[in-house]
Amino acid sequence: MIQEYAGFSHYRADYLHGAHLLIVAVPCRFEKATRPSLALLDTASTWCVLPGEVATEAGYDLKPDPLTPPLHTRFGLIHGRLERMDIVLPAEEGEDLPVSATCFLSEDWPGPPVLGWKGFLERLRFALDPNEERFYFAPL
Amino acid sequence: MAVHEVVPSSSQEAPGDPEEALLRLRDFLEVSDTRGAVAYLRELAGRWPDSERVRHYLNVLDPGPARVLHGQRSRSFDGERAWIKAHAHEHPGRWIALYGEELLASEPTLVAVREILRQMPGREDALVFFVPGTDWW
Repeated sequence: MIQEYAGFSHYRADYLHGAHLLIVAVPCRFEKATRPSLALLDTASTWCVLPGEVATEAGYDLKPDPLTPPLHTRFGLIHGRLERMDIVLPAEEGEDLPVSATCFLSEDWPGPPVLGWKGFLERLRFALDPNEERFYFAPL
Repeated sequence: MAVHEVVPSSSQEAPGDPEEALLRLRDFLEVSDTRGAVAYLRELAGRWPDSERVRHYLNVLDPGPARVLHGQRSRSFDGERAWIKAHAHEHPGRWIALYGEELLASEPTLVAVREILRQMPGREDALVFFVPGTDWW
C-alpha cells in the first residue's frame, strides 16, 4: 500500500529519566508566530492544549469560558477556553501544511504545547517512520 | 461499550434565545462530542443567523480542512535535533531557543526567551520549545 504525503519533518523521540516513556515532539508554527516551536504529538489528548505564554504571544485572551468544561490532566483540572488557531506543520521536504485547529488555551497548563486528536490530528493524514524519525503529513 | 449521547434538541423544549441555547453546548463538549456540537451549532446558526456568539463557536469547532501551502517549505532542523538529543535533558522545565546547534537562550519563561531573541537579528526562525521538567512524568 502506497500513500502520498504533502511533506515531512523530523520528530524527536526520547526516553526520559529511565521511565521508558516515548515522547514524540514535532515542529510546528503557531498562528502569528514566525518562529517554529516543538509540540508533543498526543492522539490521547482530546484537544490541542497550549500554555498561556504561547496563547498570549499569538494575541489570544486567556479568560476561562464557562461554556468550556475544564480539562482533566495529569496536573488535575485546568480551566480555559477553546479557540480557533492556525497551526502550520513546516516541511523539511515537500510543502508546509497549515491546519485550522481547535485549541484549549489555559494559563493553568504548565507543560509544553500539545497537538491533540479532536480539532487537529483528525483533520489531516499523518504517519510516523521510526526508522528515519520522520513525521509525514497531508490534507485529508 | 456504552456510548454517552447528548439528547437531540428536537426532543427538548426549544430555548428562547441563542445565549440560552448555547448553554447546551457544554453538554456536547463534556463528552468530547465535537460532531454533535457542530451539528447543534449549525442548527442554532440556522435559527439565529445574526448571532455572533453562535458563529464564533461554529468557527472554533468547525474551521475547515487542512490545505497545502504550495511552494512553501521550511528549513531543516537537523542541527537542532542533534542538540536536543545531546543536551535537552540538561534544561528541564526551561524554554529553549536554538538555531542549528547553537543555543540562543535557556530561560524559565517564553517571555524571557522572546526578549533575548528580539536582540538577535537574523534569528527570526530560531526553534523555540519547552523541555518538560521531572514533574511532567
